[in-house]
Amino acid sequence: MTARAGGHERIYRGLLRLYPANYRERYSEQMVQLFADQRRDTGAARAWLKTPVDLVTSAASEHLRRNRPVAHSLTLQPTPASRVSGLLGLIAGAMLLVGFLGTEALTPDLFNLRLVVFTLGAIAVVIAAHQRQARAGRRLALSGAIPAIVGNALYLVLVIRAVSAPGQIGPGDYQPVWLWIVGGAALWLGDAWFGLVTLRLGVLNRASAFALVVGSLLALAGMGNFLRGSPVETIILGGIAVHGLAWILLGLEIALRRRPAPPVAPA
Amino acid sequence: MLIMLAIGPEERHGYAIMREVARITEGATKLGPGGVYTTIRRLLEDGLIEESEERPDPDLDDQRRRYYKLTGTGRAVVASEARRMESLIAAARPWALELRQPA
Repeated sequence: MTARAGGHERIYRGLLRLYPANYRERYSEQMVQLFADQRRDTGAARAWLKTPVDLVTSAASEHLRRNRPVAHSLTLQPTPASRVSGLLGLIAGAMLLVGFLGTEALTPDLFNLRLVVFTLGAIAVVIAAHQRQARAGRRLALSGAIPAIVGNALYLVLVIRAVSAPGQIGPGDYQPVWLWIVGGAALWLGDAWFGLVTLRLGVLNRASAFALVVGSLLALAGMGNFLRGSPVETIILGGIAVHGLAWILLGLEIALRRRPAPPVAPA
Repeated sequence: MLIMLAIGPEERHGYAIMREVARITEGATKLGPGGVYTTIRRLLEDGLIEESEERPDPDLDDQRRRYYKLTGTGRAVVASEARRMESLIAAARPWALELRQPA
């Protein structure tokens, strides 16, 4: 390939920025290769002649497609595993909302059980969501799932560790405090990041993802800063409620919405 | 459908698919790289085609190339669509032939 010919491909590669990142990641090398083949066989002028229309129409179609989570005629019912994961997510969200009944009404055991169910449900939904999101962008989906799983798992371990320790503890009365701050921050930040990635990938409902981001960040902002009866408390509690609703919506979507058919091996 | 027909029983890379589409439509449809790969992506997601695991010999072909082939479902869809079009043509043939004849 001459330097001049390489220049054509470099310009074409630059234009591929019009496509969504996950599409580019998967197809840009092949598209540049195809463009180079086309230019070699038909000449640069002909290859470039159709490029603007081809780029604009197909890039626009890919951007619009990102906003249509399932745009295929061939879709499958959720698997039993998806249904269970979705149901766990729904319960997880409900567990957060239960907190609004008043944590004083909960015994320490119920309080901690609520947190265990919440983190397990969140992990189940993240794993189920990742299976769908990986089709849209494997690396990005994984980068969203891992922090959320780690954050929730860490919090789960902390709760189990606390309830396993000898002696009676009150709801949320955990020690050492710094460890719980780290665990809580990991949980909220992990969930917020998962929400952002979900928002970006567009495979699942963006409103749920947005609610997850907002709810997580509000909850993070409220850590250790609960001013009883103040407007700040109301905002933070609202954030946790939004967070719970987001898991419920994601859980429902995972459990009920049809998914794209996977590739089938040749008969 | 055109791209699935262009792949046919073979394993083809993007450029070969593009050329085959132009050939079977007698030049009426000329796809660009964007048109080819956005369609390939949709067909992959629908499970109608799959990427071949075999890579070209580096001495014979560019390693960046990816080859695609029809899945079992894809072949069934092509066969079903061909049958559907055959029945449409069969239904249209009697009066379409009449139209050709001078009044």
